[in-house]
Amino acid sequence: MLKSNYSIIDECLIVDLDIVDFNLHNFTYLFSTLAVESKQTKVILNLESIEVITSRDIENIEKIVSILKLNGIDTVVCGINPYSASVIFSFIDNINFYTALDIRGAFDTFSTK
Amino acid sequence: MLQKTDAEIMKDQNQRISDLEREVSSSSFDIPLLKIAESVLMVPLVGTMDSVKSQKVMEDILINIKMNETKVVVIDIAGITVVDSSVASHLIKIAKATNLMGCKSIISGISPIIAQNIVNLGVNVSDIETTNTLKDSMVKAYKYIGYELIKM
Repeated sequence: MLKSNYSIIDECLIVDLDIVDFNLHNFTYLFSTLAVESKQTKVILNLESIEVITSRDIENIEKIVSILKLNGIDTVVCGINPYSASVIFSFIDNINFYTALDIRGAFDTFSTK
Repeated sequence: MLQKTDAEIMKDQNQRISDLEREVSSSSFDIPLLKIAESVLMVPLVGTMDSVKSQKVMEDILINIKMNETKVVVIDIAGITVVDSSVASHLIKIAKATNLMGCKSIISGISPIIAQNIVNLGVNVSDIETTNTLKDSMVKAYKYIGYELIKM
């Protein structure tokens, strides 16, 4: 059972990611099930509640994005705080998903990408 | 050889601490963050760049993005005296971090020698917008937010 909250706005599933969900061994399956069952083709992963984002978290987010992509669902990640953004590239080289400042920016990203 | 007394050791250490504090305060600096248009930030970098300064620049830019919902950041490096591979690496990191915050970053003032250093780093720069002059960056930045510079 996922702890992350979610809502559907403008045909888009918005997931307020809770970091504890990454401890579940089948979290990718649970996220993809959630997205598929919501019958939406766009997902926004909101990280605003996560204070410190580690390279492991980025790996897990990339897994979710890849799995959603396999299901034909586009994903934009938003709400990364400045402190995490300033250090994350000391530990990873690149990220392979779309990002935005906030949920509004994520909607803009969907419309422009 | 005479052993130092506790008082002397303490005095030495206090002296060392105050020297370090003086060093840190003398190296403090302010980076100008110029809001040149709605959602466009310009950051002119001058002098030398080191890891401390680049981290400070990055944090200031990222906080500004969050506070002002900045869409484009133009980092002008024409005023940096030496751009070696380390500085180039820092700049790439700043650009990537701003992209992570959903903000477009454009690095201007890339001379041929700087371009060579960046390429020699082996970093994938396909996601990072660069221009030779600040003027070109301005044009790109305005275009990105939906404006165009035209002669009246």
